[in-house]
Amino acid sequence: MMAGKPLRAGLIGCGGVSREHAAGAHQAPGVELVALADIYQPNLDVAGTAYGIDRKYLDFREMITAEKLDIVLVCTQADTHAPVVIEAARLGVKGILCEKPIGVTLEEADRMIDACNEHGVRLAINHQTRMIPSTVAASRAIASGAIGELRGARMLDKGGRPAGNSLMELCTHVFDLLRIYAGVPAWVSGHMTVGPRGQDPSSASPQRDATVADIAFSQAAWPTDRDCGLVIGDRASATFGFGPDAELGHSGFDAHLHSYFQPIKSSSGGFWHPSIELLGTDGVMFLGGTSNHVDVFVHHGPWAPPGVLVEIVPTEADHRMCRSHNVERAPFHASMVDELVHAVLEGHEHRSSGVDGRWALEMIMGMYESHRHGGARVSLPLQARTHPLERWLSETGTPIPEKPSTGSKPLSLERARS
Amino acid sequence: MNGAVLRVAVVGHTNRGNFGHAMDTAFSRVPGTRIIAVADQDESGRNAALVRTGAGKAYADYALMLRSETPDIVVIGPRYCDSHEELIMEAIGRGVRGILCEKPLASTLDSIDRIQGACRSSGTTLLMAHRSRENPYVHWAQKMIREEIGPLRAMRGHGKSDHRVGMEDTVVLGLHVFDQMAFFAGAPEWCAGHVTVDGRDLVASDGRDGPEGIGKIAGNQVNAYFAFPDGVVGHWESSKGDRPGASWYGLELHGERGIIALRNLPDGEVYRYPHGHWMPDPNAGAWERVTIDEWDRDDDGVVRTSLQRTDESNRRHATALRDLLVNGGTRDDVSTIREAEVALEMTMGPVLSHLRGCRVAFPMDVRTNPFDMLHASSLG
Repeated sequence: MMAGKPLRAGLIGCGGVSREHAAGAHQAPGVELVALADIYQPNLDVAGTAYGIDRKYLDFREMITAEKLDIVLVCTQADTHAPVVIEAARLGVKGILCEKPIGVTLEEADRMIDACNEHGVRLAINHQTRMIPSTVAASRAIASGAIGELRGARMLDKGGRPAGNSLMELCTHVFDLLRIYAGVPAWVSGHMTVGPRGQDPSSASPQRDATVADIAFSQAAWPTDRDCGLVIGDRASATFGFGPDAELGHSGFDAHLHSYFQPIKSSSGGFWHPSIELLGTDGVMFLGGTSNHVDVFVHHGPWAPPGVLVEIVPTEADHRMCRSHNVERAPFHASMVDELVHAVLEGHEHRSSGVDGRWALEMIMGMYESHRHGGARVSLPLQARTHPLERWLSETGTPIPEKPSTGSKPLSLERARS
Repeated sequence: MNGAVLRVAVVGHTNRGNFGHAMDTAFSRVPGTRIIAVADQDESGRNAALVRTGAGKAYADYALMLRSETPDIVVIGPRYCDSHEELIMEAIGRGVRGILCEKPLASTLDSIDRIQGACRSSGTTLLMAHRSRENPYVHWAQKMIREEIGPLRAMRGHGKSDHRVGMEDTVVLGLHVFDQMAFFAGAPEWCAGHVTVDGRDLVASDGRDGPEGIGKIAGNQVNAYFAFPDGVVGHWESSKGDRPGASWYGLELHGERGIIALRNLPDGEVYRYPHGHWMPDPNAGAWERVTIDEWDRDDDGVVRTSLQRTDESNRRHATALRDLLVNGGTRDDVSTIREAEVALEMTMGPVLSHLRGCRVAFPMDVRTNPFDMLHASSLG
């Protein structure tokens, strides 16, 4: 099936994250990256040179039509994901890999998924931890009883930015990863606080509950971030209730999240890595790392030290599950593209589907909805699909905060992504 | 009272909570005090207590003991907390100046309110045997928060998860952890809870009388979230653990620059980690066990057994009560009625929050058992 002509892929949005998507497309079998699109000519030129692509377009719609693309990789800012994905689906592409988060509102995510369903397009959201062999190995270990029955989970978000921003940038990965093992959350109770800013971590205390006056656009809250819409909070905590899941073999549990703003690097030389601790009746599984690398350890019994940590090492079968056995660099982005090619050609959903991506956003928006209602337990999926913070502003007669005008910036492919 | 030997009377109730966790001998090694009498309705229990304490007299009737002996201090030993209010009120009525009470103080907040009112009006000093604040490890952890790992961000408590898993674990053992949380972060401002029975959400009709007079309880999995002043948050979990012999019981303190794990105190182990987030990576640092000989070993350098640690804990409480009666003042290494109130609110708040489906502010508006309140159609 894969021996035919490679699928033709185009990349939309030549910002920093396009680097991983381009590398993935170059390395994945069965696909050829043939064209780039960006509304900003300097970015387009730099990316064209870096990625070795000479077909470049200022209008992505023109690119899709002229290049007869099968696949597009959407690397634009989050608030433009919906119009780009919906238009690409309408123009006849067969598969779309969209950078996370899926969008900035659930209403956008709904429209993206509906449009792709209507046009028979496979939509994938770039939560690449699903394609990391160690996370597959973790599923296998849990299924084989490594920690007994799952009875709880603790999540820690990365701390390099205010929690409101981090939820959309990094925690979306954490939520997506938890769902592999936990299933579908039934409800959430959220709590956001803010504190003084500074380079001394101690200045992050004391905190106070975030109010409607603390709502800001992501780039106003943390100027180096991408546009992720309205955000709130320096720290965030949440409890998610997961109901019984026969397929995953648990009878329901609660999962706690902490997201702290840690403005400086820790003494160990870096920001924290996002992590999940899965508490079972017979031990604890620890999954920690980054969006591109996850270490998995198990310790039997409740506490790690003084007990022995056992690393869960992926098998060749786990690698095959992740389609990462045939790529050397940027394997997980290549695996995401490879999986999309298979999804398109074989007619199945991508293992990081649009619906999965929407669930991660659902969990974030649920936290906001709960916080603005005093931490009330809020059922998921949410009934109201517009942004909870926008509704909070509207219902209190608070003006929408000013959105920073960032414009298009010259692309630096060397800029470190956090 | 300065210079005088304080007269101590002890009450227990064999087969109804006995003398609690060796409460009858709490004053055995406290200078400036003397155990003069014990009371127990059960003859064999009474006689055994007489031998253990070396008291001169034994009574079957508690009230008669109070009338006859006019003690300065009364030790309330029975674990059954539904008897505590009556025993305390009787002692206050007989002019007792100091009371050391087994935990929990009461099964309801309104009972604590009445006890608090009586103590205030009579000037009686009441200390709770919560067995946490007197522990040197707890004070070491507080010092570490101030000097090395702070500010404190979060606390994670986990129940023992034995046969009592769920609300019984929360009421009986969570109380110690909640008292520790309040010690480190102050009294919580509100809580949110989720309680399940075999995986389904608890409903009010699940409430059943718990053991040892703790009132109505229900649920074999409890999750609670507490908001403390200055943005410090606390989690409590009591969920099923199947591994034989493993105790999940303990509290982790997560600071900006480190973590401290108080595991299964007073008999367990204490660890510290040099970063604010644990990573199982040798390059990130290692957990280090902390030992404090003052607690772990007796005066002869011999490692204390579990029972000896309980005795030492009781001795410290008893000594603190004597000192407060003799010298006055306040101290932070013991729990008073206020700490008992906070700890009981932290056990009752999560279930009330669960039944209401929203946060519960402290002090709680519901002062009786939440399950009883439902029957009175008073739940919001």
